[in-house]
Amino acid sequence: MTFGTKIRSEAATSGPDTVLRFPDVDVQVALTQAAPVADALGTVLRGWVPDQVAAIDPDMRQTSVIGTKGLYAARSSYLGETIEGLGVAGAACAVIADLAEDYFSTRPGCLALHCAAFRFNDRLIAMTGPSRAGKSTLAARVTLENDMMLFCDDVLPLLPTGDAVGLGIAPRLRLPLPVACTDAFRTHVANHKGPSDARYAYLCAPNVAPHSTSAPLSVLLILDRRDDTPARLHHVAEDEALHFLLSQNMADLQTADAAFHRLSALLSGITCLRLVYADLEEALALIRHAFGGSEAVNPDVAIGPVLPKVLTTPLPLSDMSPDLIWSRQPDVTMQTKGDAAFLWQPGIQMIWHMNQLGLAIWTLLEIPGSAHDIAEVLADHFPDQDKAGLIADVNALLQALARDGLIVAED
Amino acid sequence: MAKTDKTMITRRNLLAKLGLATGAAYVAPTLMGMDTASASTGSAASRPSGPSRPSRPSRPSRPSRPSRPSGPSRPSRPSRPRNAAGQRAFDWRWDPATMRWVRVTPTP
Repeated sequence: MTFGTKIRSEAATSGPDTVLRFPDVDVQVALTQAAPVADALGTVLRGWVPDQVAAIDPDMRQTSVIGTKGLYAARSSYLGETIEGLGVAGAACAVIADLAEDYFSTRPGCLALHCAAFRFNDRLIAMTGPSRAGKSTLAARVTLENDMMLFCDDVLPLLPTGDAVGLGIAPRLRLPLPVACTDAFRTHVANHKGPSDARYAYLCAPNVAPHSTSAPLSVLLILDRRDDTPARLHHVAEDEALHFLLSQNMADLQTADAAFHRLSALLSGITCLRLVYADLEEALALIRHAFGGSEAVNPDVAIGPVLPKVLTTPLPLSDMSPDLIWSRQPDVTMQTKGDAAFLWQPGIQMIWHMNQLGLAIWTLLEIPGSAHDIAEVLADHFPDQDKAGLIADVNALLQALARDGLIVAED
Repeated sequence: MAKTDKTMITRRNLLAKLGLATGAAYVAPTLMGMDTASASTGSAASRPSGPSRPSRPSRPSRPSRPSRPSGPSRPSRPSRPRNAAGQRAFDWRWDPATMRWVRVTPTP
C-alpha cells in the first residue's frame, strides 16, 4: 500500500474535518488532518476569504488535501490524479492552482494570460516572456516598492470588459534567490517569507493586491533576459506581440477567429514593448522611469527598433517533389499583421503564424503553383540567395502547409 | 505571350502588391501553429465535463510524412507544486503530429 493509498483510505472512513468554499469559484476545498494547509492558505491569499461549511456538497467540484505525519496528498478535480508527499507550501499551492483554474473555467470569455502584473502610476503593467525570463523574480521584487501593487506572478484574468483582476495570491518565488539580488531584496524576502519548501517560498508582502482588485491593462512588456546587457526597451513587431498573447493565454477562446480578433483588439489598446535586461534593479529602474510620468512612455526613454524574431523554428526539409502543384484550401482565413500573417480554418482551434517570406509564398499561391514556380519569382527579390536553397525552403513551407491542411496538391 | 509568361508576370505583380522589397535580408519561411483551445481539450485526460465545444472536424488521411519539430510549449495551467521527488507529476506538450496536447512525465 502506497503512502497516498493509505491516507486516502483512512480519510474515506472519517471524511474531511474542514470544508472551505471560496467566493467567486465553484470548487470546494476538503481538508483532512490538514490544519496547517488551511493556515497557509490564510497567509498566502489576500482578501480571498473562504466560508467554512459543515459538509461536502456532492454536486460541486472538490479539491481535497489529506495529511498524515506532516505530509500531504492533494487531489485536484482538474488534474484527476493525486500529488503525494507534499509539504504545507506544496499542498497550499495545489489548492491555489485549482482555485485559479476554477476561476477561469467558470468565466467564459475571460482570458488567462500567463504573466506577472502590477499597478504603478495608475497603470497596470503585465510582464510576459519565455520560460526563465524572470517574471517571478521581477514580480517578487515589485513587492519591495511601496508605490507598486502586485496583481499576479503567474496568471492574470482579463475580463471581456477589458479589466484585469488580481486574484489576491502572494507571489511564489523560486529558491535560492539569484546571486545578484541586493541585500535590501534579500531582507525583504526574509521579512515576508510565507509558506515555503526547499524550492519555492511564498512572499506575503503587504502590497499584493487584494482579491478582486481590478484595473484596465495598459502595458505589456515582453521580458528578454540576457547576459551582461544594459536594460533597455525595444519596439515589438505587431505579429510577434500577437504571437506572444496567443501562446501565453491559457483560456479557451472557442474559435481561432475569436482568439485572433479578441487578442488583436486587446493589443490595439495597450503599449507593447520588449524589455531587454540582465540586472533586476536596472530593469525595475527603467520601468519606473519609462512609465512613471504622464505620457504612455516617458519621452526621455529611447526605444530601440524591433529586434530579430526569436520565435522562428526551422522547418524540416521536404521529401516531396518540388514540381507538385499546390493550391490554397478555399476556407482558410488569412489576416496580415505587419509584414507577417496568421491563418486559420473554420471549426479548427489552431492559428498558424507565418513570417514575411511565408506570407509572400502564401500570396503567390493565389495562382496554383509548385515550389519551382514560386522560387523562380522569389529569386528576383533575393538575387544573392542560392536557387536550390530557395526551392528547398519554399518546398519545406509547402510541405508544412499541406500537412496542416492549409493547401492541397492538384491532381 | 505564352501562358507561363503571363503567369510569371501575374505572380510578380502579386509580390509587388505585397511590397516585398528586392534585396531584402533573406529569412527562410516559417510556420508555427498555436492552439487556441484550453490545453486539455485535445487530450485524453481529464477535465470533468464543461460546456461542450465543437469537435475538430475529421480530416482526410494523408500519406505519412516526416514530423515537424514542435514549437515552444504553451503554458496550460496555473503553476502547480511538484511531488515529493521534486518533479511535477506530469507536464503537457503539444504534439504537432497528432495535433493534440499529450501528457508527459518530466525528465528529472
